This record gives sequence, C-alpha cells and structure tokens, in this order.
Amino acid sequence: MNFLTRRTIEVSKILEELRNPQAGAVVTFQGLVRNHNVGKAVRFLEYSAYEELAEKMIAEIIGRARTKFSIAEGYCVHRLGRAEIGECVVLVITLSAHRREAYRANQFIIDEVKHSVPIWKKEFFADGSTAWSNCPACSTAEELPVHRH
Amino acid sequence: MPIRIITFGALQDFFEKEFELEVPAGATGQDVLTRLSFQNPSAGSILSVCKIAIAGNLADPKQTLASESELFLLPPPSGG
Repeated sequence: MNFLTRRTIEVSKILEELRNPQAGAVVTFQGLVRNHNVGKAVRFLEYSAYEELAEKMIAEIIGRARTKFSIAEGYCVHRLGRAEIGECVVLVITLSAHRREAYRANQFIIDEVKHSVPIWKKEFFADGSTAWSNCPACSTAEELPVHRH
Repeated sequence: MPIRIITFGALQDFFEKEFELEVPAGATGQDVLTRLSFQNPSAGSILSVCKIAIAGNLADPKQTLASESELFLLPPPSGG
C-alpha cells in the first residue's frame, strides 16, 4: 500500500473502499490547507518526504494502532508536492465496532504521523515569502514568525 | 573516506540536496553533523536536532560510518 501520494486524495472513494460490515463506527480526520498561518495569507503548500522511510514508518504506525486499539481497519495517506487552499493533505480513517476505539486510534495515528514521519511542509505566502514549518532556525529568531533563511 | 550526504526540508536552504563529503575513517553521523554546523553556523540549530538515517532506516548518530555511506539528514518533521 502507498501511504504517500502526489495526486488528489479522493476521500469519498477511499471511505467507500474501506467499508467493513464489522465496523459500526468510522472516524475520519482530514488535514486541509488553510488560507492563513501566523497572521499571513497562504497561497499554497508544498510537501516533501524521505519517501522510503516515511512509507515504512506510516505502515508501522498503523500496525501499532491495530495492536493498541480494537479497530477493524486503519488507514492513512499523506499528500506530497504542491497542495492548494482547501485541499486534503492528510487523511486518517479508522473503523471499529464502537466509536471510542475508532476515535482513539485515529488520534493516535495522526499524532504519530505528525510527530515522527519524515515529511516536511513548506508554506508559500501571498507576500512572496516562504517558510519551512516547524523549522528550528526560524523558531530561534527574535521576531517570530518571520522566516530568516 | 568519501560519504554521500542527502538533505531534506529546511536544510536544503543551507546545503545542496546531495553532496559528497570526505571524512576520516571512524567518523560517526554525529561527527558529520558537528562538522556541517561548523561549516555553516546558520544551520546549526537545525543540525542539532536532526535525526539521521542510513539505508532507509533511522540510525544511531554514534554509529561509525562506512566508506561511501549515504547519510540522510532529517530535520524535525512537519507533516500534516
């Protein structure tokens, strides 16, 4: 399974494909490109990854979610390349017999993906500036959130 | 001995995406991070929190590098 894609994430189609008669609960998390960040208008985002490792790590995170929570299915896909305002850039779907496990597993997966998987977001602002999200070189700058590279 | 460095994310504002580096035999990943910080102090705050990977797996920075290793330098992730 590919957990990274450069194509539009087709949420409805994926939800339909994951339908499972054992699951009475489906929790869906979508991360979308918003039109602002740190007080500035955002034009678009670009995502890059160390793909070989990122694929392995997302698979491993989903495996851990399956072990840790009683879910019938766990799914995650993350976008790479340019993403426009409003587009889905990360999708996590969890299915379980009851809602509690689906919610918990879903939050576990998205938290782990954001925290540990080697994927990087670059923001392109309307004023022409750019910024790497979560960049230590920027966060040590005195006048946050100005990007100083 | 020669090794190959591959950078990602914000590190690409400071270094080429890929480049070769000559390091002494017995050098570790940490030695490489320290040397690159010395070469480019502006990148020091990123390099100090980078993870490293070798051959598609996260690696211990104290691990001794082999000649012609490919060392992947991974800044803190920002997916999602």
